[in-house]
Amino acid sequence: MVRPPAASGVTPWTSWAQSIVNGAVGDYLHARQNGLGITMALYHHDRPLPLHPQAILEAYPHPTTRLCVLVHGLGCNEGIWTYRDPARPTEATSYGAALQADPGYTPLFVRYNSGLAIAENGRQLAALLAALVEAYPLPVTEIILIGHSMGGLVIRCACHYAAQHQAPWVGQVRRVFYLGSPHDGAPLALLSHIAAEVLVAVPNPITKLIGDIFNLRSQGIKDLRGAPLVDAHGHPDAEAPAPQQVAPWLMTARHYLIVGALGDDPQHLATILLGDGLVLAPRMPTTPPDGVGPDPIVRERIACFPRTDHLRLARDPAVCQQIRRWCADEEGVPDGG
Amino acid sequence: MEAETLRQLRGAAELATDAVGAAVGAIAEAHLAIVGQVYAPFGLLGPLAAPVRGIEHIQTAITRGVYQSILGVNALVACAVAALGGEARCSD
Repeated sequence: MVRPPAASGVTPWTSWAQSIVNGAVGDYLHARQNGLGITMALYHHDRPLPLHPQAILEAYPHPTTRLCVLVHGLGCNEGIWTYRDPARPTEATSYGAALQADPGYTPLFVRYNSGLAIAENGRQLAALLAALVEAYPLPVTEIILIGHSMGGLVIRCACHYAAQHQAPWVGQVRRVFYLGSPHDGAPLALLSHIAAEVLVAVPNPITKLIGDIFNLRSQGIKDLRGAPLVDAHGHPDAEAPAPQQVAPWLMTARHYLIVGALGDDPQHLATILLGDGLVLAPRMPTTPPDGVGPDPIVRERIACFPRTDHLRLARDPAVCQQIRRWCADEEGVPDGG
Repeated sequence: MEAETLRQLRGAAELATDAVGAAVGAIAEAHLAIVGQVYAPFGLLGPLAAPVRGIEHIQTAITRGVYQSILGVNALVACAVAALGGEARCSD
């Protein structure tokens, strides 16, 4: 049996430190061309995977025509997906490894600079997936996308830009799974924005200093205070900022929301107020996309997991089971239906 | 050592010197603003205004000097880091 690449290694602490710094001030690192800035790529065994057929075959000796692309959230890297296999406690596994074993998706893990604007990361992801499909040694027949937290918003933006430019890969996307993604914004991000504004506005040198430090947080963090925004008309003009709109849902794919709850009862007031600790459960139904047709989110494709905090959503055997069940239940579904 | 690791180490050192520079600049600004607030009421007391202003200038000069010296050392460290990496970044 092929050892799942996702389960084979533990991401070293230095990579974690780099990812956390990228989440905090990644836009600054990018602007300064600092060596700590992460360039978006698919990662395999803590190294970027070159996008040419031979390198892909070396990393994945038994590739399949169905791909599963996993995108982490703010300040994380692909190590967030790794957890201890409940069936074999001495071994690590991941959603990617489980989906590789059954039903046979080839898992690919994205690492990126999560401090950049979400829309910018969406653009880069769209380009990365286009390059992947072109370099992949087999014809790609199906893609599923799994995004944790901010990763889900990056996927939404990527699908928008790919659809806008009629990229071939977007037609292969069948399902998109959003794990704790703040589609309507994260209250903590909004709160930090308000706190920074108030601190800067107070006429006191100390509060202004604290507010200025607060405002150093990355554009990626700032973007989390509301729904993900994309440029309405393709790439922005260098001279004038392009008008923005809420990132529309990809209408040709099925969208699944997985949300966590700190308490036992998803209807409990504490759960409603705190959600999974960082992100609240989506409204039912979620915010309709602006002018792009009916809301593609249906109740049957929303699952809430009690006693599951935000980070655990990316590494929970029950969540993994739910994803596999959804994949199996709707096997062979050709479109967004 | 791998080139990528070296690049990251240099990046970490650059980020550290950037952070020190920005923090010292912001703290100096806040410090001087507070000093200005303390001396401001004395400016309203006619006979005291001129000598107090003199003392304020001296204190401000010393304060600025201390912060500038920290920034100077920090800039030297940044230059050394850039030189180790074979880059000219001292003019930033």
